[in-house]
Amino acid sequence: MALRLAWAYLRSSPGRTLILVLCIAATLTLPIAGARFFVVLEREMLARADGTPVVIGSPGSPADLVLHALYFAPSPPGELPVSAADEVRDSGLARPVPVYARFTAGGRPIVGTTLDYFDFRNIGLDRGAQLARLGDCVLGWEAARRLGVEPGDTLASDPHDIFDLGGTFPIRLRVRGVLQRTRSPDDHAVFVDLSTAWIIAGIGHGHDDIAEIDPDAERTDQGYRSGAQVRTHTMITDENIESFHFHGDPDTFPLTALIAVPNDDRARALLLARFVSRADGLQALRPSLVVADLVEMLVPVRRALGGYSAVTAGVALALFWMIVALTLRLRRSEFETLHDLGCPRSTTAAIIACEIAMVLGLGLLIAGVVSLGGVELSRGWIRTMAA
Amino acid sequence: MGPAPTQAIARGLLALLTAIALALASPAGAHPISLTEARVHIADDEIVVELDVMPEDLVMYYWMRPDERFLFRRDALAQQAEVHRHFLLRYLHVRGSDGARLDGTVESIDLRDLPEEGVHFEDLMAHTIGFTLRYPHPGPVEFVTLSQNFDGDDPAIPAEMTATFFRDGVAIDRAFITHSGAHTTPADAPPIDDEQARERSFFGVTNYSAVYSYIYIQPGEVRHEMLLPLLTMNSFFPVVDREAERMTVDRQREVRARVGEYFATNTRVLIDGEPAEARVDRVDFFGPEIRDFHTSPPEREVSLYNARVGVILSFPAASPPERVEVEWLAFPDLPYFRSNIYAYDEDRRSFAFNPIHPEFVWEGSAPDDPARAALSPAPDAVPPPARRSVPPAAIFFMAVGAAFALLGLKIDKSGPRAAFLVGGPIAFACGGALWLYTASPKPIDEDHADLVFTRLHTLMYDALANRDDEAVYDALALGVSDQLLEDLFLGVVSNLRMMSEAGGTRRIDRVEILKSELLSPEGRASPDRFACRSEWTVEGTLEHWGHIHTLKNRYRARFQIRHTDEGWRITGFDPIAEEQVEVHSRLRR
Amino acid sequence: MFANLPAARPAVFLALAAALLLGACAERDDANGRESSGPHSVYTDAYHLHYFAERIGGDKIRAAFPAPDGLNPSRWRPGDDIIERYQNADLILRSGASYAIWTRFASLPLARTHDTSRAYADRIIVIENAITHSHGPDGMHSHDGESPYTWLDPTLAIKQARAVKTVLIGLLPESEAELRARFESLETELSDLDREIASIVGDRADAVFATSHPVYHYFVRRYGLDAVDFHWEPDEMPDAEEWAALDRLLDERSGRIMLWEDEVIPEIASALGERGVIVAVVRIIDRRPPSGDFMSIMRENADSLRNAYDTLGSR
Repeated sequence: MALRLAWAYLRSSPGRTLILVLCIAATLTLPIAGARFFVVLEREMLARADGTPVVIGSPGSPADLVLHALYFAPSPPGELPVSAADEVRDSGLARPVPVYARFTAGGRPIVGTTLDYFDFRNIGLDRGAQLARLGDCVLGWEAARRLGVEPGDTLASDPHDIFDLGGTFPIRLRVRGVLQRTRSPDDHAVFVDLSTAWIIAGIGHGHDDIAEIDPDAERTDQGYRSGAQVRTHTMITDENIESFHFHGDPDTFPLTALIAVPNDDRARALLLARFVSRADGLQALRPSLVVADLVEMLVPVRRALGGYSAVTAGVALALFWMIVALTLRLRRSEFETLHDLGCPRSTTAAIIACEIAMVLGLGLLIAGVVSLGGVELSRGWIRTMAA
Repeated sequence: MGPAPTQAIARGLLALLTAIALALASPAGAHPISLTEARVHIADDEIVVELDVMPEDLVMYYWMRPDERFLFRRDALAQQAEVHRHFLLRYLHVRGSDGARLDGTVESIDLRDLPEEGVHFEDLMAHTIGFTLRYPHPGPVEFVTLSQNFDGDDPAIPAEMTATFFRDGVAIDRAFITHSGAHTTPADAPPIDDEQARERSFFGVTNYSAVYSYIYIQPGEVRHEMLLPLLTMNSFFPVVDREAERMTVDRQREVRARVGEYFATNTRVLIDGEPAEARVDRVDFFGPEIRDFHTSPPEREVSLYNARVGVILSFPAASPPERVEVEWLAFPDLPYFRSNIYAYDEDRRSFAFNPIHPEFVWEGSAPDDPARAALSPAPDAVPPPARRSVPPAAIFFMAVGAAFALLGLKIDKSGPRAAFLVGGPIAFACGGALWLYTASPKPIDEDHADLVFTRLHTLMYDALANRDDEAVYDALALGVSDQLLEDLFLGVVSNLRMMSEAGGTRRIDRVEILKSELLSPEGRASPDRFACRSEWTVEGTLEHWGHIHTLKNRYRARFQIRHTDEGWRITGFDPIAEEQVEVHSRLRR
Repeated sequence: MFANLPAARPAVFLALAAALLLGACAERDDANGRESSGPHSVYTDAYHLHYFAERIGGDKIRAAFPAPDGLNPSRWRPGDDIIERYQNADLILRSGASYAIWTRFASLPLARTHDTSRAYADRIIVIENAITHSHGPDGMHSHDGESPYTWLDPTLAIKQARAVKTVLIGLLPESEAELRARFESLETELSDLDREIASIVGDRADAVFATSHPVYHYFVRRYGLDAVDFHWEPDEMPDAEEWAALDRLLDERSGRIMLWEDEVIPEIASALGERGVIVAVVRIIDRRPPSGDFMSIMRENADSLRNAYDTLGSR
């Protein structure tokens, strides 16, 4: 009875009811969405970290290093020699998964690694084929979609140093395959073999054989001196692949991070121990702890948001109460009439309570649907945010 | 015909020979033995040196000729003594706290010891001329360094000086200083005859110009710690230009590795017959103010004349050494040095390394390794948790109750029917209650918990006796589990690394649990997990450079203990308090 | 309805867990595309390694060496499909010392690829100016001077076989005893062979004065020979200039044995015969022999060398 009367009343002035409901919804949406956002954000960040047992890298900020290894943040904190990967492998404690991610292609990070990365993350191919040789790349699902490239196409690396006249040119990569969708940062990356990444970095390069194009080239102690123009290859093809070569000691070639996948808990502890106060300063980190620390840093933000929400809610509630009180006064005659009609006071109170509950309930419902739905819809964006 | 004529002839011959020798000797080649005695008085802002010089020095340095009676006239000696004051100011080097040379003045010359008639040729060494030199010091005197070059820059026979250092009239140090040597004394050194105070003050390293060597034979390694004056090392392994006098921080960094390499290649160690590879743990340059060589000193410029070099070499041993041979290969670089050898807990022995006996051999047996004992936990000490079991009585009651209730339904007679229908469910309920009571987890009792905890606690500390990563982990895994195992292990490892950098030996001697109490479980009681609060003390020693620091700490912490697949393990640990109970240092006898 | 819930829950969980496990398994196979049934596949980039793997692994592994018989495995360039087969192998063994050039350009998994020459990295011979060698590739500068034919020194071959044994044990820890035993038999044969060749050479190391190709560096070093490298093909008559170079060398040296990779054509044989040069065929066994195997050809090499020494001795 009270319910029906309350509903009838609310329907009698839909405009006012709508405004009240929307006010409630608007006030509650932000706090609910905020709380939910942080829960999702934490979960996303920790999931990636938990799936990466150990990250090894150069001395410096642990957070930078871990975020780089996990999300390929474009400016890595430093470099470590690739010999560290051999060290990890030779220790028999863990499988090394090298990462060298300095450059981009179409704005997507180019991740130089080995096939071990795909084994480790358990990413298969959606279409096309796996990396086979120097100059090949496979794309993350999202990267392929956004860049609009398919296996068989080529993709140029972005120019990275406009001041380097010495000639590190963009390299055209042969797109071999597209990876399965993983809903992780891997979807957004372009994967190449470590050696290919070094070519992009200019550590290795390929050019015409001087002796071939200019038989008159004068051979000196340092090499050839020739007037002929030597072309540096910007695309690795079957024909010129053997002209590609590296300079320097291969053990010193750089990585930006090294992921290690230990055999078991004991191996993990022993591996971490090997990186305690080393002469070369290399550090081995447990991403789950580092990210947990980062998440911990969000706590004040969360708390501030909570406080703000509480204040807003309080003010809104007070406002709401005032509106209710004013309305009740305006409707005094109406209640008097009801009373005169033989309606007990308790029924009148029940009607008012029902009205308030309905408005609040509707507002809450709308706020819940909008905020939770919104966060759920923007999960992908949060994932990128996490990166 | 007594001995007189013989004596006269002999004396005449000697005089002739002396005259010839003096006449032949060129100034550059003249290097007589000069014996001087110095008394160094250290005041707050000045240093006063009383120097006794024999007339012989004057004769030798200034080519003085005796008269026909072989007498050197007093006034002639006095005249030369005046000249000699410049010589002394030039060749006697007095250095202050920062190792820089001080400028002094000759305040007085005391000729009272010279006979009026002059000094006879034979008595040139029987008298002395006293010089008083005064050296003002900028700021308070903390260290005095004395050296002398009375025999020129390239001596064939060293000039020797005996020096005694006084503070407020009390002798605080004595030294024998030769060419190229220097001796440093701290102004606050205790009196020379107060042995105990000196040991306390200097941790046994009392002499600034001596070479100290300590050899430790330990379960995991043989360690050689050497402390020698920078000046001494510079004489056979030059790292500083003598003219420069000071060693900059850059220079220290530059030569550190080379110095380490020099000592590493010149110390040959065989452990149980196998050559052991030297690892250079530390090379440090200590200023005179450093008396405890425990930690690496802050990098700072040092003086060649009062700094010391500390080198620590370690030779890893796979198993506790039972025969150790240490040979010093660099003779005659360091012509002689005495080493204190500390093997395990044995008393100190001493060995003098010299070119004839360059090798020290120790043979003995290693004490029992606590870590090894820990690897086999006594199974009875760690009993498995109490099992939950359903008592047969409960099943019996329930079965009978159910049967009675069913029977009651079938029976028509109202009297027995009511009895069955009431008694059956009651019996069933009693059985059920018994089941629930026994099956509900019973918390672990105090004694049992205490036993388990004590055992695990011991295992945890025993693990620290290991030096090798894997051994530490395996030993730790016997008492600790889960994430705590990794965290504790990494903590221990980082401690081990720091320890090897600091170059001492740390050892835990005694762990005593003062009390532990079982905490009431949070949530459901369970026989396979419990928490307890414990208070315990750890006594340990840190040993290096011939002395031992003993530390005793008290800890309080909460522990979580769980029965895992491998047995009882500590899985959580929250420290509550840590305090230092005791700390003292002593020399090892 | 509610009563059903608690009972249903474990079943739901079980089903979920099972699905997860199944999913994981299926995905795993799918993702890495590796053949999971049957014995482990072991791919090598050199024939002798293939032989070692087969000798040591026996039927516990499936050894594969896909280089076509007609091509030089060092210069061969596999197609993407072959590279994919390598990528999917359980183990990839590399000969190292700059042997198979294609391995530098191919994407191979780090965890499953092993350079078996690392045990003797300090023994690898670096040849200066190898880059300008007319047969040489313009490959990576940093490695290019390395002479790849390490296995002609049986002591290095033993070390390499030992490295193969170690990685195979890592793959098949349950068959350790068997792998060990098989390795030991191979090791015995190789060290016997080493002793045999050493005894053939004896104190007449100077008897060998030349080689037809610069491929014998390890062999020459192992037995203390002093031989000058030529660049002659056994089926191609060298020109007069090259013969003149040989004549000049013959004037300087007393040795008369020349190492050849294969039997020479009659013209060369007679021209050498005229000069008193004895041919010893020491095959480098860089590909699957038409008959026999690595070990039998190594023994034939020793026999050929013995014959040459005997002929020289009977003069």
